[in-house]
Amino acid sequence: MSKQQQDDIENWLSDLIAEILEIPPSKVDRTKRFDRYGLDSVAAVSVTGMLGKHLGRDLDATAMYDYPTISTLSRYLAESMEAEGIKAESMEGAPQ
Amino acid sequence: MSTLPNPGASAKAIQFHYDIGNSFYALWLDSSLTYSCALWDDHDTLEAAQRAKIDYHIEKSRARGQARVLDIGCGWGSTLHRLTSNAGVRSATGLTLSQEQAAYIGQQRWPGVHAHVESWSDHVPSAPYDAIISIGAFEHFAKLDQSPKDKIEGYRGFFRRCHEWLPPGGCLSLQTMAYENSTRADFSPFFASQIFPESDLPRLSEIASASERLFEIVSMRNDRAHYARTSLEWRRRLLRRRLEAVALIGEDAVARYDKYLQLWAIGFHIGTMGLLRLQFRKLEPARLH
Repeated sequence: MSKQQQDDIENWLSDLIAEILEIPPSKVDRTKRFDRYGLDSVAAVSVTGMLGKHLGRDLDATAMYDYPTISTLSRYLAESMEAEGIKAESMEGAPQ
Repeated sequence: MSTLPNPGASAKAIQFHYDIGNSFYALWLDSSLTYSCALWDDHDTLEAAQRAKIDYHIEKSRARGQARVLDIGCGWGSTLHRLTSNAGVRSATGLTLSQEQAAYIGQQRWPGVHAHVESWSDHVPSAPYDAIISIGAFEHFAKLDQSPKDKIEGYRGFFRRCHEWLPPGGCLSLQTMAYENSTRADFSPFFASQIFPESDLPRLSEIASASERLFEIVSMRNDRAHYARTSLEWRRRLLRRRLEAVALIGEDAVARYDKYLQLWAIGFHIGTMGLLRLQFRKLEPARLH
């Protein structure tokens, strides 16, 4: 369950980063640090806001600095959501 | 004693932020309405951490049991009230440029507490003070467009005044945000235009330079992690009361506060900004032996 949720979050985040950077999702490296993509603190607030809305929970923007890649952030969120008993069914589609 | 030109933010700029409405701040600050970084050592609740911060400054300024204490930038009066109700202080005077804050303090009718809508630069006390506390006000004592020389001279005017008002060996306990791994050029236009107009942060070196030969620095803590935690806690509380907040100040303003509290948390978390708590002791003129 957790791995599936992690993959879903990773895919959603990759699509979002690709949209922000105007590059194909396939070009997004999930192990590259967010700051290497040129994402600053304002972008971090925006990304965590959209991600939080997507997952139906409030996220602290500082999470993007504690877990600074798509991969590590997704794993952290999937694990903490599983611990909190939040089901994957609450997730919606990919960003438009 | 004559007054000085106020080198920092104008009353209008201060009121832009702090007079948005006491009811709004009451939704997400702790019950004492303390709007500055808390001290989280061994404390789990915002209430306890804010009280610990106030007690820390009471101890460092050596205000306990004194007759007259000054609080420069007194907010909604939580420190003034703690001084007179818990620390045995007879008279606690607060200065603020916010009319809403001064009115709120007046309404409380706390014995021994007096608040004035006045800058430190205009303040002419009737008698000296035994101790001085200033928490979260120094950030408004300089403007972004000042030259580095004028900025330090403005700060020095503040320290000179505190020096004049204190007895030999008297202490000032100061808390302020500061630039850490960042510079003036990094000051966010969002903060400058929409959150804290006419304000600039100090660097530790500027504080040291502005106070030298007036005060010695006795102790210092950099508690930036405490401000990251305080900011995130404020934001969580604001989001829990979001609908009421929107009803009071509108959707756009709430979104602005939400964004600012998150940006602040990031800044303190990654060290672009620091949070300094400094204890100063008054120096006497050097004598030849």
